[in-house]
Amino acid sequence: MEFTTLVQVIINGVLLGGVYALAAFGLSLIFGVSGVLNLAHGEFLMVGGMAVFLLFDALQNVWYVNPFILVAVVAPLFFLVGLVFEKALIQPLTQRKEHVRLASAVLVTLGAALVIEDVADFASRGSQYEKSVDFFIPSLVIGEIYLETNKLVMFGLVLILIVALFIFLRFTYVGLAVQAVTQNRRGALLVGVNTTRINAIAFGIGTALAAVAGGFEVINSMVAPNIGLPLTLKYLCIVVMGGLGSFLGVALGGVIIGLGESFLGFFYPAWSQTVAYLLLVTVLLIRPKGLFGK
Amino acid sequence: MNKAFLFPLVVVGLLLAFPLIEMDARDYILLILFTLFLNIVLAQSYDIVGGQMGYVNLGHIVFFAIGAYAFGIFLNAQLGFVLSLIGGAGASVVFAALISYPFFRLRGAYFSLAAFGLVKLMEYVTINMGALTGGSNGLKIEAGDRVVPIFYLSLAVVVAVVICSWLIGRSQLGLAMKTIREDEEVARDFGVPVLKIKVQALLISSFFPGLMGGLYTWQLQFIDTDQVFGLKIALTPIAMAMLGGSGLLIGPIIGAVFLVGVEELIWTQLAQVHWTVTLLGYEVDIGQFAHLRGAILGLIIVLVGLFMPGGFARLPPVERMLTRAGLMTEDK
Amino acid sequence: MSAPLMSVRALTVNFSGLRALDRVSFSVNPGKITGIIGPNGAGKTTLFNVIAGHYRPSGGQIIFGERNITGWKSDRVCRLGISRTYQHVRPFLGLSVYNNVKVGFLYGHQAVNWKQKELSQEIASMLEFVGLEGLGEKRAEELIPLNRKRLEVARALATHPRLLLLDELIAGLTPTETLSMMETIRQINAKGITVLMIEHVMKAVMGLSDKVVVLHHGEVIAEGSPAQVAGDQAVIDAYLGAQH
Repeated sequence: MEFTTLVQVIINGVLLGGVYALAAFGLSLIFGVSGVLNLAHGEFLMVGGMAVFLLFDALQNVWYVNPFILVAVVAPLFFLVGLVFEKALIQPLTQRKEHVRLASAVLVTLGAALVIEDVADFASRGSQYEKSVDFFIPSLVIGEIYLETNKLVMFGLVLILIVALFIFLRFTYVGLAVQAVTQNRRGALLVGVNTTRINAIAFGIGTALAAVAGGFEVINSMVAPNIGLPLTLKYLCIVVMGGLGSFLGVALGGVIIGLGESFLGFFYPAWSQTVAYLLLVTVLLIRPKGLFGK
Repeated sequence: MNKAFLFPLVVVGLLLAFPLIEMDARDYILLILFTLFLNIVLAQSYDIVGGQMGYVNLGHIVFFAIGAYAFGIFLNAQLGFVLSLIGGAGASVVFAALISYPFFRLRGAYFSLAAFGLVKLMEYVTINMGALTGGSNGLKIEAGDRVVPIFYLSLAVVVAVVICSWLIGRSQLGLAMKTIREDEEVARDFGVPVLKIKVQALLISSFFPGLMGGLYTWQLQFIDTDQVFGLKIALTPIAMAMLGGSGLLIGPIIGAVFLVGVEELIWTQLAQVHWTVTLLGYEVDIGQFAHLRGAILGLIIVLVGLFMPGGFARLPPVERMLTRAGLMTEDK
Repeated sequence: MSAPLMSVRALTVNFSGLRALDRVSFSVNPGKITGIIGPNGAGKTTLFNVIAGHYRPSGGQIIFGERNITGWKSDRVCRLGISRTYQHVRPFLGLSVYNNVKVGFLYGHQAVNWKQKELSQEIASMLEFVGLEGLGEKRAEELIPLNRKRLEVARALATHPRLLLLDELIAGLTPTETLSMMETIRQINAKGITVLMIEHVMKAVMGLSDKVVVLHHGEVIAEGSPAQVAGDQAVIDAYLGAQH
């Protein structure tokens, strides 16, 4: 393998991993705070991407808008969607016994995922199935290495969002409360944290992050009604691999899987999609609570 | 004789006699019943681990898929029908044994996730092992006239899995499984060898889907990864178990009858009618909403999760009715 | 004096840098009731959890009878003859009272081939002994708190323990209930079962124990008869805070 190819593969892997990490952050936040495996997470990503596509498509002839701006418009809407989703579907489950809660959360979020996917599928009838936004900026060439500017912008935005999230978690009351609930729900409740509100906020932020990732997907490659569940599964791999509630773990997990897919995609393309699951199973076998889990 | 046995015996008796009736729609009905049996077996065997032991195994379908592929591969290797069927189930059990130790180091949500990941992993492995499995082209087998034998064989598997599940529920093993569901740490404190029990439960629960997988391949003569690893077939049996009442013997059966019933009787029929109504000035074809059946299934699943975590069978009126009929097994 | 039933030697437990138990040593004499007292956070429950096999100590040994059981998993510890109750009761909530006790009989000690009928009788008499007669068919979650505690005792006794660990069994009970529970503990001890109990209720622990061990900040600061311990200056300081 030539050096420049190696660099190209690594860069692609890290870029891919960055977007993975972003959506996985959202999922991790939700999982950490509410203990719920949100199997509908990937659906919000898909719908977020669809929303960006529809806005772009509708505005195309009127006003050629940078799709990244549309992503920023869509994100707050999905914060609200997350709040409503939590209020309607997740909150009622919180009082149940542990194994019942796990099972009912699986049911509720899976059912919601099926509904969202099927409605999106139904609504896409008669138009193209895979949707993508045509938006190109010339590639950047450094020596023999090509960098797609789209991806660079995206990666920059991912970094900014991750830093913002870190600052939020570290320096704001709500952020600290989110962490407290993740670590010890009862303890947080005892010191006066409004856990119901924190749950809702976590869902809001998590869903907004998924929608942003969906926006990036639609700009970078495509979204289609059936991508939701497989993506959810991949993000869950990242979250669990990194260790529940560990943000460093998620970032690292995302990048490892991105790199893994990029490398395997280069040598054995057929196996590249197995990376997430192989790594998940391997990591869990060695460390049952993930890389950074306690 | 205990009245609890009366109703199941009558049902099984009627089913045994059914293929003898001469009628046009016989083969069609037998096919629907096969679908029902398939789902009952998957739901009931899932519930051994999921309901009685409380480990939500989102990867249960892998056992079915392995049975389906192994049967096809063995049959094409001229092993003969019976050996292939047993071999398929055997392959499932061996696979369960291989994953059981590492997977049962994981608890709760971690276990569910890793198992769910296993479905995708095995799907890709199957696609990439084209020499053995036919890869993305799928696997073909040759089979002759088999509608009636497959009906009886699948009915036999249903009876076997129900009896097995019932026996476990009454046994010492079943009690240990329930203590693991309630509080695994305490179970261990009271001498329950938790790992051994979990492995036993998983091996038992992997055998029946393995058998059923072989029958499925035999029925279809052609399988590919979408059919046996698809998310819908992976998750529907689990939804059925919970919908009917997880942990209760009758639960997965009720759930399977309900969902297969909804699917076959309503949606399949609806897709064939073209019933147009005018709504707010628009012509709307009601039949096209048949395409939303995934959404309706999802909605049902959401409602069950939200409002009846115990499933149909634990709704007080249903519970009373089942108790009167002697069909309510206790889960305590 | 006979050899101790259990000796704990220099037992040390660290939780990510925090020392929960620091070279704790004491012994439990067969057939006696030993009490463990100490302020909150002294490491009492940690001690029980280590003995019961929840986690491996960072250092030291636990000798039970002739055997070194340090680091054994809890199911093995139980089958060898150490059983317990929990500070925050943990019956199998979804199971019947009967089945809760049955688990102890079936799995809690070396293999016994129970005949169905014998087993039912044993369970019934166990339920009667702790005062739960007639409640066998109820789910544990339907029991009032006092009865949940009783159920925990019955489940622990069902394993035929040689050593019974009671973690704050009496705390939280009314005065009448306290008296009846103390009587139950005496009866258990009279059957020849050695008891090691953590207790905050001084009247109970002083009234029942043959020997008292005092833990403070993970260390044993006093050990002796109830009267000796009550007069010990270090113990008084630990409880009142050494403000003078």
